[in-house]
Amino acid sequence: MLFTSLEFLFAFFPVTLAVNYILPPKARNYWLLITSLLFYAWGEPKFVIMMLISIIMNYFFALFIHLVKKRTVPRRIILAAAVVANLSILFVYKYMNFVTASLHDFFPATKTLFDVSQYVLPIGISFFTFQAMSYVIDVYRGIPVQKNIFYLGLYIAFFPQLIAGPIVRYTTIADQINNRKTTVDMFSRGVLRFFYGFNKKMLLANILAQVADYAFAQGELSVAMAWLGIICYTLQIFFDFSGYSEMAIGLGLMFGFKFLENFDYPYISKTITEFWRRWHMSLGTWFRDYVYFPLGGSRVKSKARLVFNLFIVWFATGVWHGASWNFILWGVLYGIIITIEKLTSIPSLSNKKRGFAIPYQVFTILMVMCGWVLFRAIDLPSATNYLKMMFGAGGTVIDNTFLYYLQNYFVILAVGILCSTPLLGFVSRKLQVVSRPMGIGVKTVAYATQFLLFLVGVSFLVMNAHNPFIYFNF
Amino acid sequence: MKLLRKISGLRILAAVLLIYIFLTAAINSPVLLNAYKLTTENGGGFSEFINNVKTGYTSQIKGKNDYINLNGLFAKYSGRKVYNGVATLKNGMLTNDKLKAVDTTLAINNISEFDKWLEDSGREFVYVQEPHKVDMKNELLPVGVDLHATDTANTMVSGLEENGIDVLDLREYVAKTPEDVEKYFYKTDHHWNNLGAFLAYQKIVEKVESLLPNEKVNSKYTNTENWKKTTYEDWFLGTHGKRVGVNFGGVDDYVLYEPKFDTEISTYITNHLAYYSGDFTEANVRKEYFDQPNYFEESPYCAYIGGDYHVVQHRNENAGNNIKALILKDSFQLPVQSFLSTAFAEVEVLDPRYYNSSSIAEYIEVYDPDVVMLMVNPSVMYHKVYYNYGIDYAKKLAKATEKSTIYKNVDLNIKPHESQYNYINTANNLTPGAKYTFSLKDVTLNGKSQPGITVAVFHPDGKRLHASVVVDPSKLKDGEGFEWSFVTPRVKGNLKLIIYPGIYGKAANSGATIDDITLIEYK
Repeated sequence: MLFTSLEFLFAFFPVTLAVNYILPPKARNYWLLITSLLFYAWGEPKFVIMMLISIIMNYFFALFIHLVKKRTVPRRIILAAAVVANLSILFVYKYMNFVTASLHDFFPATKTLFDVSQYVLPIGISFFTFQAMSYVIDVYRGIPVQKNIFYLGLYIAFFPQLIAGPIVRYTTIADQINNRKTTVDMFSRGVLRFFYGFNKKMLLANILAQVADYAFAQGELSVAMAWLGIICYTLQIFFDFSGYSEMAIGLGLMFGFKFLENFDYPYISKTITEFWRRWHMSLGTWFRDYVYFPLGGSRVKSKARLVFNLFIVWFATGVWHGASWNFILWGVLYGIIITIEKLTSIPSLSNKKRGFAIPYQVFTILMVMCGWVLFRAIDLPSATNYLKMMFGAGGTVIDNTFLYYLQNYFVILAVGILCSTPLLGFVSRKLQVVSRPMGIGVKTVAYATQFLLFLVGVSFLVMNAHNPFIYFNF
Repeated sequence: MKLLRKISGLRILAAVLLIYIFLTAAINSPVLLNAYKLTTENGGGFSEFINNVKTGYTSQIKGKNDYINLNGLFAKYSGRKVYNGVATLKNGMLTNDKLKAVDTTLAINNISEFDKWLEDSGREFVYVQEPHKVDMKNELLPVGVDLHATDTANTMVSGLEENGIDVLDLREYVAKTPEDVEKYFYKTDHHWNNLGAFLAYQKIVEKVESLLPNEKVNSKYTNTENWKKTTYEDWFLGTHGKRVGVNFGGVDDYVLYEPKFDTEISTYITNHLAYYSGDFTEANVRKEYFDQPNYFEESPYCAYIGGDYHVVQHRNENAGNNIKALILKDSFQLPVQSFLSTAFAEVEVLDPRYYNSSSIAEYIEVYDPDVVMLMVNPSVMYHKVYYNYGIDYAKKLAKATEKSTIYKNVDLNIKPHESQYNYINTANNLTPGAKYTFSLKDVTLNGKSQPGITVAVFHPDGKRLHASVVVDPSKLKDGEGFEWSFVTPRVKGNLKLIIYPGIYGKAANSGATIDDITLIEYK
């Protein structure tokens, strides 16, 4: 089920919300678990079994770790088993098809040994697997274990963040599972966050997707159209993913849960390193805490070891995003740039020297956009072709197709660029200060606008616009 | 005051959302119930229930049209010129955002062959090029939109003219310039408006008169001063408008044209078995479109005739000529054929997209019109049905001159019966693909009032009719009787010739006495 669907807005959500607040507080976790499993089953009825297996498996792994004495070999073995078990499930469903196909490509003799597998990817498997693993690892590291399997199930399967994040740490919400209180203001903030996310997805991401989809479907483009396509995709993926995260955060607030932010205006980043501190923050911190730091992080004796650690993290980041060479290359390229930034004084120069900072900031956003080409293209040859077209391989600089799309999408594009920066918030705050003596409520106007835009978003659903989330496939 | 201070804008927002969500959920709760019922009726499982819920919400949600209008408003103010399959011309009118480019080679070849066959059989032919909703130089098109309509029409016209075919290019009159398009087309629909249709009617009559010098059309019929125009303001949301709502491109007025002069016309829609007789309005205008505007569910464009049908037959004994015209049409003909029914003695209109009881050429062979007109819009030229005629079948029919009498001078008395489908079967096992002539001397109706009897070829599956005709006794001239030629479809099974003592499906409690019926087959 999608948040941006009529059945979610007008059936699942009101019923779940109403019953949640009718039930006594102790019963609410069970209700939310049941509805979360129903939410998952709506899209993938048969994979609910896998979800339940993941919950049961990780519950017992954590419980055993808790029961076994600290700093013992068995404890480490159980942890290793938990990690292997979780990663095995992920490997089979997400990577087996890619591995078998790649082996066939590189070693044709293997074609006689096995066929390319045809596993279907369960929605959100990367998110909830990482979430469950982080819980087991955190128990190993000393956090209190959750002895109620249903409460743990709620943590893993809670519908707002189940299928596209943010990846929530157990410690973030452990207390909220047992003792949460929703105030009117908290609920209201949740509503506003949900509107922000919904409107970003429906009115920015989905519309800009039309330009990007067209551009990436062509074998030949003018330079201007190629750039317009990738700019639109750059904005599309941001609003799609951050929109979903905001809806998740908003829904969490409405049910009494506070999730951490997942995006912080990534496109204003001055360096690639900074970009990854602002983009999909829950994934970045996951890899930092569970891969980078255990490997030693940057506090290692040699630069070679540092490079190795960074390579592992960014290779894994690429692999996490998808089972294809595009994603692996995407991750490795980021790893290379971040390694260079770490080994040089680039971050420091970006903070101190304006003459360096601005060109490097431009370089950063250009590299991000080129990275998105790899991300969006269906394979490496298509990505290479697209990049070539961006730099003139198509032969034409500007054509009627570019003018057509620019004319039709200019307003949304301009609003999208504005909304991808903190400028709108800055202007709004200044207007509030100016308007307060006049008694004009800028906030009231803003809220009313958000609601009206929400209705427009609903109108797109009514007209049956196709609007799946990009990050569903992870 | 304390309470007011506590009610912040944010809390009001939350309250508004909750009210909206819960109210909409409650109003649309039948969707869930219907989905559940449908699932259990079909013995489906959870997956089927999910699908039924999804399709239920998108098709049954209350206020759907208001959401479409809101969506169109957003599209307009977010600068969209092309949206949801609709493009905005530079003058603000709506049209398609794309049309297929059509290879006209086969069409030109087949139409040329068709023209030759018609000429050999003593019938006139005109290719009438209807306009698409764009000027002939494409000046109105927005950047990046190429409809190919102009190119398709240009190649058709020039290709047919090179082959010596008579062409009437209506674009020269109703779509030559941007000003023409603005004047002669609806803002929100793809069709010409009734002013444009009337101008087309005038040009068609001129053309037919030039082809049939022995026949004349009374000039009062084509004089616009002799037609009453009634304007229904803000009445019509056209095909394009329905996709984008009333706020994106506005709505249209509808101007109904009705003759001021006396008329006596009958109109028979054969596959719908609807018969209308009386003055022009009674015969051709569906007045139900003028009760109140219904933007999304109705199209007043269909006020003339009611829509596109397989075959529509118009008869006008007061036309003052003997012109028999057959039109191969698309939807642009609805107002035009109505106007033509005042000018010609007989107008039969066949829509190749729907007609499938015989080939077009066979229909022409038995109907034997004086002039055949192929009238198409570039947007439908990719439909091969418009240039597949079945000439070989018609040639075979033409060679069948030997008469074989099935029955002759038989008197029939059909007694009234309570069934709506009261009938008599007069012949079984008609030969598929053969020409027949049915005739009678006189008809007397009794029982419940009916406009006439229906004579029809009944399909072997027992579910539908093929060729049919309504015989209106009030139209029979003394001593002349009635004769009708038809061709049977090339299908297997028992083809029957049935007579109903009224309109098919409405013949309850009606009876008829029919004198001297004769059926002849041509072999």
